[in-house]
Amino acid sequence: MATREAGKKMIMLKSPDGMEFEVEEAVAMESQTIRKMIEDDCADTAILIPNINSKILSRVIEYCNKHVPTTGATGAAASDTVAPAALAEDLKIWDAEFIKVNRATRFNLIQAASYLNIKGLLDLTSQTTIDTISDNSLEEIRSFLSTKNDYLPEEEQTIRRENQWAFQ
Amino acid sequence: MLPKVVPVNRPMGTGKPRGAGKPSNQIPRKVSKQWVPVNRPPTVGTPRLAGDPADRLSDLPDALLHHIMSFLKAWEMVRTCRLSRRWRNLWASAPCIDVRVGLHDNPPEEFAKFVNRLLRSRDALTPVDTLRVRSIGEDDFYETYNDGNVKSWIRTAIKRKARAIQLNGHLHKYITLDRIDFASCHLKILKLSYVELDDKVVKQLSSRCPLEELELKSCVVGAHEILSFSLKSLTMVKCKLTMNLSVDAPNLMFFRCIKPEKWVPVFKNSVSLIRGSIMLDDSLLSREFQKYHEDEDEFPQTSDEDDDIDNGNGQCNGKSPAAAEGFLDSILYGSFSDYCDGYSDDFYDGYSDDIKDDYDYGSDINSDDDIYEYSEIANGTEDKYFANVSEFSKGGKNSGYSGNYGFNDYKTLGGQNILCSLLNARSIELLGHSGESSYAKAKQGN
Repeated sequence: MATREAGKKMIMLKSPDGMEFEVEEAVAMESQTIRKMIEDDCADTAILIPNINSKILSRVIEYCNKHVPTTGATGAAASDTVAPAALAEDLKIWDAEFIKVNRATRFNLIQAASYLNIKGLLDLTSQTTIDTISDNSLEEIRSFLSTKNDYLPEEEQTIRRENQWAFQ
Repeated sequence: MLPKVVPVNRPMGTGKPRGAGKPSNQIPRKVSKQWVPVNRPPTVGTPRLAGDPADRLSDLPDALLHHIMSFLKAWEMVRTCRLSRRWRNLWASAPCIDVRVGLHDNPPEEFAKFVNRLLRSRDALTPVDTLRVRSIGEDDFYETYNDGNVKSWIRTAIKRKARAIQLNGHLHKYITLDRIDFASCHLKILKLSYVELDDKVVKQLSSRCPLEELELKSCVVGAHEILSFSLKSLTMVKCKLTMNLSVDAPNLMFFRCIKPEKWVPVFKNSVSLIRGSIMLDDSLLSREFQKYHEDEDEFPQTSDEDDDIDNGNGQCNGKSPAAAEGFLDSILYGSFSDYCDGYSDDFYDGYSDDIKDDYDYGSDINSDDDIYEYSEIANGTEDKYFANVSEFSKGGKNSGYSGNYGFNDYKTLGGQNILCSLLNARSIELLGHSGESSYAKAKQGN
């Protein structure tokens, strides 16, 4: 790892709770938001990431670090193309493990992925959210989504009637 | 949620941890999997943000909820209206509609009515960004809609400014695209499987819409030409070309052609190509071609080149090194890629996954049963190595083709022409079986 870091530009990411994370520029640029900042020269060596606490930010960095393409900008990258299928499979397994988090963390990750514009992470978290709710009753889905039923009973009847066409 | 740029003289964090105040450019002492902050030891408990407002999904903005909903089937999406007030009308403005009925789905019984109603009831001002639809098969138990319905939904989506459309047909029942007008200034992505395309449809797709990504899997293509200035990505997997197809797409950057049947597409103007992956069957590297080249002992690249210039039409007449014997008997998986360009990152996952793009709404458009993983492709190569990799590379290096190529019809059947026409890709990589890199060459300075 030490040799890999040599000569690579490092970026400092700061969470609003005062934590600082030092990551390779390539890893930080997995986030399209940060990429834009860097490309527009808006970022010096440190970037404050608002609204994302250090706990979530560290998970996000963990994700980016895993998903940063192994190919470099050099021609030597050719050797890295060995068995890309195995690589993708490995990533899939890693993702499945990565997303085994509690609800609150997952929602925070969704927000973070959205703000930082990391498509892979946003898709992963969204898909997982959807997966948890399929084949469940309304009450269960509400509880999975941490959604409180704020309909009045008569209101609920109306909604049901109005949208009967979607319920067979 | 606007990007906030921090001044260089940023304030120190609130709860000042032990050992804080390091210069920001200091190399971290240790890189761990846990991604601990560099300015605070991991043992210190992380302070919670006041309120932690993201506890609840419903607090997320509409755009995010819509993204999450794009992973739901259309009927599930509408049913979320019963969750709470927040969700009541969200479905009506959801930009992604997935009406593909899967085996384990529980769609409304009168399915055609449901989809019609959905398209009618949703917010008229919100474009249908993405439509995913599957045609009905012969043996499906949910025969509550027909190809006519499917086509009318596609027409509606196009009218509602669809940017991406995915249509899956069935193995034994191809769907045609007649009576659909693809003229649109919004349609950018089209993904089809088990679809029959005729010349008229392809012409429309080529010239009447700003199509950037065209993906055809197991399709029957009866067209002479794809002529498009907008097309950036073209994928053809196991497509049957019923006639000689020429692809003239000067902005094409990504091209994947896996096991075409009957004919092999011919490329003109492949000047922007960054990455191409080609896999051909034996049948396409046909015997006639071998006969055609029987009198060629060597690969006369230089004279070949001269011929091209002399006869004026830049004809690449199959004297390419790919015509080497032995090579004819192997199945080819070649990859042309560009390492010098930023695009290579975006396209890097091209082997195992379909092209991902920034403007894709929801990733699921890529996920259907027909995706061919690289491993499948590699397995299909019957463990053959290239016999003549070096010959090929030698020829590839020496023949300085560039620009346009013209082909006579009787010559284009040969798979080697596809290689010939792509020789101006800036770098070439050939793969043997199981993704092993047999040879890689970067043609720099082109």
